[in-house]
Parts: sequence; C-alpha cells; structure tokens
Amino acid sequence: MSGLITWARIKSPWLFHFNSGSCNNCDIELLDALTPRFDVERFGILLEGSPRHADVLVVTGIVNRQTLPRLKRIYDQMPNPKIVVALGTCATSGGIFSEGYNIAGPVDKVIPVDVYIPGCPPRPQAIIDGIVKALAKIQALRGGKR
Amino acid sequence: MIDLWVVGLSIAYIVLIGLLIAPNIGLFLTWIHRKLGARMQWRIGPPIYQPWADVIKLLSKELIVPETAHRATFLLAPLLALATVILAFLIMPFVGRTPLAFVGDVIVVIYLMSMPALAAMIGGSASGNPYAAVGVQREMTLIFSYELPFIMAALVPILKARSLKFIDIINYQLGNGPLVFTISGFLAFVVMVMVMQAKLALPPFDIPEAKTEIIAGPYVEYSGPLLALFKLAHAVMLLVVACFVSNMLLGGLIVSDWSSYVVILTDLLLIAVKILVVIIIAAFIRFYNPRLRPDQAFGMFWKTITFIAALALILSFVPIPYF
Amino acid sequence: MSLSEIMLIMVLVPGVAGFITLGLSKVRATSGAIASIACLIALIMSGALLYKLNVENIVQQVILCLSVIGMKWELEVTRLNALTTFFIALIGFLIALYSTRYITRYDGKGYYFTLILWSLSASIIAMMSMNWISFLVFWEVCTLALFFLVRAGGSEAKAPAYRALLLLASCDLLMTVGVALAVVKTQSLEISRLAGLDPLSVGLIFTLMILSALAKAGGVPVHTWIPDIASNSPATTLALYPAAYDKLLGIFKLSVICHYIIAFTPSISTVVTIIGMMTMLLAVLMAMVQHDIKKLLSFHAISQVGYMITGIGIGTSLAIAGGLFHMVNNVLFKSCLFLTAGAVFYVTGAKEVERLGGLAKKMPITFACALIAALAISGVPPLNGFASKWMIYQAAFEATEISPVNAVAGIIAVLTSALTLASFIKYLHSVFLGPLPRGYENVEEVPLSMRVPMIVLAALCIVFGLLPQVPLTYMIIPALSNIHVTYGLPTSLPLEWVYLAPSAWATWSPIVVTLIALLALALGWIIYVTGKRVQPFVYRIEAVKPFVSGEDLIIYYHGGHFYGPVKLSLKRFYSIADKGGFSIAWRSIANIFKPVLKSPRNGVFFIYALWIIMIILVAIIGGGT
Repeated sequence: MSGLITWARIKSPWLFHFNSGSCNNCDIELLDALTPRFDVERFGILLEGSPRHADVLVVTGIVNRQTLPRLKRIYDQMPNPKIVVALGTCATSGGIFSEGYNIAGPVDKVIPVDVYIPGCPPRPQAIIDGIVKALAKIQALRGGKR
Repeated sequence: MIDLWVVGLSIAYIVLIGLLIAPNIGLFLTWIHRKLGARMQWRIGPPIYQPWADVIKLLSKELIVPETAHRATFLLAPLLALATVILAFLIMPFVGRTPLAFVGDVIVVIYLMSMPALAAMIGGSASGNPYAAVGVQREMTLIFSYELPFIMAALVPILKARSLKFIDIINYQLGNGPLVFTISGFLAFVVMVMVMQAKLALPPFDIPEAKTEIIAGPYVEYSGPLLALFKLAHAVMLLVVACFVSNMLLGGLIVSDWSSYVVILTDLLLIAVKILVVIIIAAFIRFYNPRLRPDQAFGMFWKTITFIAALALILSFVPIPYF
Repeated sequence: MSLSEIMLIMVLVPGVAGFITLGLSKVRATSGAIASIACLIALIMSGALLYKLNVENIVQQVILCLSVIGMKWELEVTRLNALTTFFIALIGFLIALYSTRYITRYDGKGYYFTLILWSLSASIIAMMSMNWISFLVFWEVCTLALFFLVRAGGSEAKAPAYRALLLLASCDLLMTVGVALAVVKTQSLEISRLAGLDPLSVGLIFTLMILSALAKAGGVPVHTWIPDIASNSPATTLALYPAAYDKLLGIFKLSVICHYIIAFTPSISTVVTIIGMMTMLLAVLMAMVQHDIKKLLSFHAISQVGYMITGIGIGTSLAIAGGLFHMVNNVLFKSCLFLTAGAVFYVTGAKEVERLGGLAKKMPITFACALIAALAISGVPPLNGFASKWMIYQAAFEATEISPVNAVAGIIAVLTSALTLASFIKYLHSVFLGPLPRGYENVEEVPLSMRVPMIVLAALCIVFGLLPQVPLTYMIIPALSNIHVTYGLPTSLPLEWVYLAPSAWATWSPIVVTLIALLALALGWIIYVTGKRVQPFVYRIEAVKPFVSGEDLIIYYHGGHFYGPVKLSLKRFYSIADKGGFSIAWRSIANIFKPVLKSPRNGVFFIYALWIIMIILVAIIGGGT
C-alpha cells in the first residue's frame, strides 16, 4: 500500500508557484521549463493554480517583509505531504539582497525547504533536475513525516 | 415486494460495473485526451498510467476543510458528483444491454448528466471562497445557456424513434441507419458536440474553471481525496458523454447478435470506435480553441447553436429519407 | 364515522375555532395553540376521508344536501377534492403552528389565526360545492382572507394588498358573468357539464372562467399580484396562499373547467398549454434577477404553476396526472421554501440577499430544509419535483403527435427547470453559504415550533420522491376518475407503467438511486477512515483559512450579481420588465375606469357591489327554474 502511494506521489508532482519578491527571471525560467520544449508532463508535472491541489511549492525570490505572511499562509494552506523547492540564488541564500533592510528570508528561515536550486536564474534543465531530486527524496522518505 | 437477492444482485452490479469498470475506462479516456493534446503540441505527453497515478496520489493526500466552509455540504458534494455520473452510466446501454433500462430513461440520463456540475456548484458555494463563488456563477450561466439547444438536439432522435427509451432509439437506428447520416441528425450532432464540450467544461467553454482567471473555480478549496472524487467524476463524465452521443446519434453502443463471435467482435470494435470518435473530436476542439467570455458563450448558445438545433428539429419532421 | 360526519367536523371545528381566536386575539400564544389543534383535527379528518374513499372505493358521493328557497345546496366529495382537501388541511396545520412564534415579528396580531382557520374551512367548502352560488361565495371568502392576511404585513403592505384584491375581485367578477351565462344556458344552479353547447358560448364561458382560475393560481397574464405582495407580507401568508391554497384552488378549478364543465377541444388545449409555457418561462426569467428573497420565491410560485397549467393543457391522462402531482409537490416544496425565508427573516430581519450569507452554520436545520426544497423545486432526482416534472416531460414529448406545441412545451419545461436551478443556486449561495456577514455572529436557529413545519415539508419532499407510487396510487390517479380525460393516446403508455412497474428492474426505481447514494456514502466513509489510518498526519477540518491568493481577508461575492451577463444579453426583455411588464397593462386598463376606481379601496367596493348584483341575478335566474 505505502509502496503504491509513494509511486503515485513520485509520478504525479503538481507544482504551485509562489513569487516572494523575485526579479521575475526565475519565474520566467520556471515557465520555460514547463513549455512543450521540455515536456515535463512526461513526468506527470503540472502547474496548478490553487495550493490545495499542489504537492510541490516552488518559491522564487528573497521573501521580503511584504510577502512573508503570505508565504507562511500559503504553505499552511497546502495539504500534507508537501515539498518545498527554493528556486534561484535569492531563494536559497538571499543572494545580493542578503543584507537588505527588508529581507525576511531566505526561504529556509521561514518554512522548511527540501531542495535548493541555485542559479541566477537557474536553467530549465537545472529546475527539472531539482524537482527530480525532490522526487528522489519522497522515494527515500516513503511517505514519511512531511 | 423486492426480493433480497435482487437487492444483492443490484449492489454487485453497481459495484462491478459502476465502481470498477466505468472509472477505469473514464481514466483511460482522459489519458487519450492528454496524450492527443501533447501530440498536437509536438511533444511526447504523459505515460499511460498517468491518470491513475494522479488519482491515487490525491487519494493519499490530506483532506482539508477551510474555516468558512459548511462541513457536511462540502464533504458530500464530490460523492454526489461521482454517484450521479456512475448512475448515468449504469442506466445507459453500453453493449446493448442494461438491466436498468426503463421507460423515459433518456430524460433521467439528461438530468443526471447535469448533476456533477450541480454538485460542483453546491460544493464550491459551500467552501466560502470568493473564487469558487465566481466559478459557481459562471458554471450556472453556462448550464442554462446550453440546456435549451441540448434538449432540442436530444429531441431529434427522440421524435424520430417516437420513444423516450435508449433501447428503442438504438433499435430505430439499427433499422434505418445511424441518425448522424441524415441532415437533421448531423445538425443535432454538431449541436451536441458543442454542448458536450460545455458540459465537460473543456475549452472553449472552460469558463467555470478558467485556471488563469479564477484559479480552479468551484474546486479551489478541494484537496486530496475530495479532489480525487471530482477528478474521477470528470473522467466518468467523459465516458458518459461519449456514450450518450453515440447512443443517440451514432447508431448506438450495441452488440446486435450475441450468438456469432464475428459479430460480437466487430460490434465491440465499433463501440470502441464510436466512443473514440466523440472523444477525439472533443480533444481537437479543446486544444485548438481559446476560452470564450461568459457573455460570449451565452450569446453563442442562445443564438447560433439554438438556431442550428431548431433547424435540426424542424427538419426532423420532414418525411423525406435522409432528412 | 360516516363521510358527512367527517366532513362536518373538518369544516366546523376550524370555523368555530376561528370565532374563539377572534375573541382571544389579544393572547397570541393561546390562539396559536387553539388554531394548531383545530387544524390538526381537520388534518386527521381529511386523512380519514382519503382513507375511507380508498378503502370503500368511492368515486364521488353527495354528503350534504340542503334545500333552501327552492335551491338545491349540495356538497359532494370526489377523489379530486379529497386530494386537495388533505393538502389544504396539512398546510393549514403547519402554517398555524409556524405562525405562533413567527407572527411576533409583525405586531403579533391574534386575528391572523382566525383568518388561517376560516380560509381553511372556506376553501374546503368552495371545492366541495356543487352549487354555483355557494362556490362563488366561499371562493370569494378565500380572496378576502388573503387580503387581510397580506394586510397583517403592516402599513407597507396596504397598497399591494388593495391592488391584489382589485385584480382578483375583477377576475372573479368576470367569472360571475361566466357563471351567469352558464346558468342561463343550463337553466340550473348546479355545477354540471355544459356538453353540447354551441362553440361560441362555450368559448365565452371558458374565457370568462379561466381568468379567475389563472388569477388565483398565478398564471400569466394575471399573475402580477403575487410578486407585488411578496416583499411586504409575512412569509406565512405567502406560504399559505400563493404557495399552497391558491395553487390548490386555482388548479382544481382549472382542471374542473377544462376537463369537466366544458368539452375539451384541441384549441382549448393549445391556448392553455401556451399560457402554461409563458407562465413558466417569463416568471423564471424574472425570478433570476430578483434581490428580495420573498420576491424571488414568489416568481417561482408563478413559474411552477406553469408546469401544472401545461400538464392540464396537454390533456392526456399522464399529463393531467403529472400536473396534479406537481401541484401537490409544489405545495410541499414551495411552502417549505417560503418558511425557510421566513425563518431567515425571523432571526436576521433582512429581506435582501445582499445583506445575508453564511447562515448554514448558524441555522443547520433551516439550511437542510431549504437545500432539500430547493433541489426538489429544481427537479433534481430523486426528489419529488423530479418525479412530477418527469411525468410532464414524458407526456409533452409523447403528445407531440397531437400537436407540435406540446413538444415546444416540453422544451420550455426543461429549460425552465435549468433556470429554476439557477435562481435557487443564487438563493442558497447568498443566504446560507459563503462567508457570514458581520453582525450575525450571535444568530441562533429558530424555535422548535418553527422548525417542525419545515422538517415535515422537507421530509415529505423526500418521501414523495423516493416512493412516488404512494401518492400516485392513493391520491393522484384516483383523482383522474373525476375528470373527463379526452385524449387516450393509442401509443400512450398506461399510467401505471410509469411508476408502478411490477419488477424492481424495469423501472426508474428510486430504490436503485437510494442504493447508489448509500454506496457513495460508504465509499466516502471508507476513503475517510483509510485515509486517516494510512496518513501520519491529522486531517485539518475547519482549521485553515480559505485561499484568497495568500491574503487574509474575507471577500463577499453576493448572489445578487450572479446573472449580470444574462441581464445584459436579454436587455430588451428586462427593460420591459423593469418598466412594470404586465402590471403596466393592468394599470392602463384600470385607468379607463378611473372615475370609479379613484382609489383602489373604492374600486374594490365597486367591484364587489357589481359582484353581489351578479350573484343575486344568478340566484333569481337559477332559483326561478
């Protein structure tokens, strides 16, 4: 039973994309990764509009004070089990904004992050690779705590 | 009055056909849709097990009821959706035989086919989400837009066969050839295909779910198992719609002779072809069209499509062959 | 007990109790209790009447025969009026019970119960009368009772009440002229068949009489009084009169006119069916854009009557049975809906949908009843509305052989059903679901005496939907024996086939639906329980905020704006409707008689004076023979 569930989780990761104050480069690259050229539907990856439907929360940007409560709320609104992917240098470390006056991030300061995809912006190939790594983590956890 | 074994038999029938076979065929048809879409966009598309993986994953996820929701209504709506489409499938003849056939079953099926939308509306409304409320409004506008041409198109075979029973309509077509090869039948088919697109909430009529405008319409707040039930209902709905169109206009899903293996095989093949034809037409319309605005859809249904349906209805009274 | 004893108790107990409550009009609770008990007795008696007719297989029987000044004054029990009597008593009882608390919102007038009781007796006598004069008198007592029941709504209800009375009394005046014609032609005061008359006078009598039946029931074009009174009169008045008594009286009268008094012809069939179609469609289009709850419901009270008129107009046995069954069902779900609207008004004091929302959590029982009744009126299987609408659709499509108009009627009926669903989605969404507006946090469920009537009506909606053969076998199909069904179609299915097929398999059996529903519930339960067991986490039920793009706020999206695109697309229709629609026509006719009708009050008295003169004339003509 749990083997079947883990299989299904790996084969059908649905993304929810949250921009927490990014410069939009990472967002554009994420959308590039979802174009027919890369055909991520082969792996069952779909972009969903509602966090209630999603399994993977993809966060771009530094998490500033404006987006901080919204990020927390959306993370809370996602159904368990969920995976968080921090996309881009800003999301992973704060990047050049790490000493800015309004930064509340990076993402792992606010919510637990499973996979980091660095790059400014990361290439679509890197994004797909990161999500595949996230799936491998599900495999390792086999439907564990989160 | 009703024997216990009849009840037992009907439970077995409902479980076997309704809960095991229908959802699986439906999921397969959704895969065909997605695969066709992928091929039209020059990509490979999802593997064949994709719909099953989606549903199993959703079933295993967390069930969330938001604060603003009315709990009982919110929880019951997806069950209502699934139960009604399965019932619609059970009532319709699939291989020419159904124990649930009765006088006037066409009307019951027409009603049951709008029940998933009703369930989505009630569930969406019960969730207390403003996006869902907009979705409910759009879904309802869509329903009463297509109801008028739909019933007119459905009347063409009903009046030709002079019966409100699927079996009679199919037998009429066995004798006189499929109705889609007559002028009125073809017009009715055109109307019905458009209406079916709206019933399934596929582009150009995916107005109630419009992902880029109102997130997911009535389904915004649904997560995990409840969403899985809605996805299953959608899948079975695809099958029900294909069966309905085939039964009414494409000559019916029937095995005409159960004694000869050749006939059984060719007829089963024909059944598959008929369902696939409807599904493929729906997929082509779906992937080649952008979404309409609600008022555009309303105007289109109440003007152009109703006109075509009225024409079909009037032509069906003309007592000339091939009209 | 003999039939006449049952009959006397049924009519006299509420009548006498009416006088008692009139004396006790200061003490609301006591008079409410007395009224409820008297109506309960009437209900038991009408049940006994139905039982006796079924057991002894009586089709019709004269139960009271007086001879006064040379006139025969008879009351007759038939299967048809036994059916309507039962529901009149049922609704009377439930409304009396409900009003006990509800009427406190309207200055708690004690005479309200007197009116309920007297209208109960009067409508029973009107339907059992075999004499034109007693029929006319008691028919008019009902109209007057309606007037005073509306007046109980306070000063704002005054003008609408007078307008309604003027319209109804004028239509009744026309009926009196028709009666006079009939009396002259038959040389008798008895209500009897006018078979074998020349077509001209039959047409004249038919036109004169049908208007008052339509006005009572609320058919187009004489429906304007119902939405007019809806906004300001108490919900109980609306549940009692436009939803129940007027439907029972009007449709009873209509079926008697069409299928008993005169010979039913194809042209009459076409006229009545077209009236039914127009009633269905126009009213439901108006209902969709209403903002006032009671007004919205009142347009549905009109729209639903279109189904019954259509059923009677089509004139096959299946159609008439469908029409009568829909009349019964309409009484159940429409009264229930008005009562839920009353309950919402009782706890919140709000009339417009814009001021409401999210009450389902605060008033779970009211919500459940409203949901059931709303689904029933929209014809959702397996509820009772579907059962009767299904019969009407079948009859309509089957009767296409008689006239293509019937096919159009069927199409309009299906469309109306969808539009009805649309406005009830609006009602449910904007009153019960969605977020709760500020200020209603302390709202509580209505008291028990108001809950019981709603629960009873909603339960009956389910029972009549799951077991339609019960009302059909014991009430509806026997009632057909009292009217002359002209069309027996050669291809027509025997009525019994529709619901009473011998095997559980061969029919639309609501049993199968119930099975599926139970299986679906079981499936849901299995998913819930296994999900809970498999998961390492706990389901979050009502613990998470809704998703509003990450914001923490509540946005109200009211049902009031639901059908804006439709209103835009059908601009022409709604611009005429906004100007007043049919009311304009009646107002301009009233303007012709302006000298007499200077104020509606004088007009009403003038009409009644004419009316009394007509009755005296009729009595002289009839009594003289």
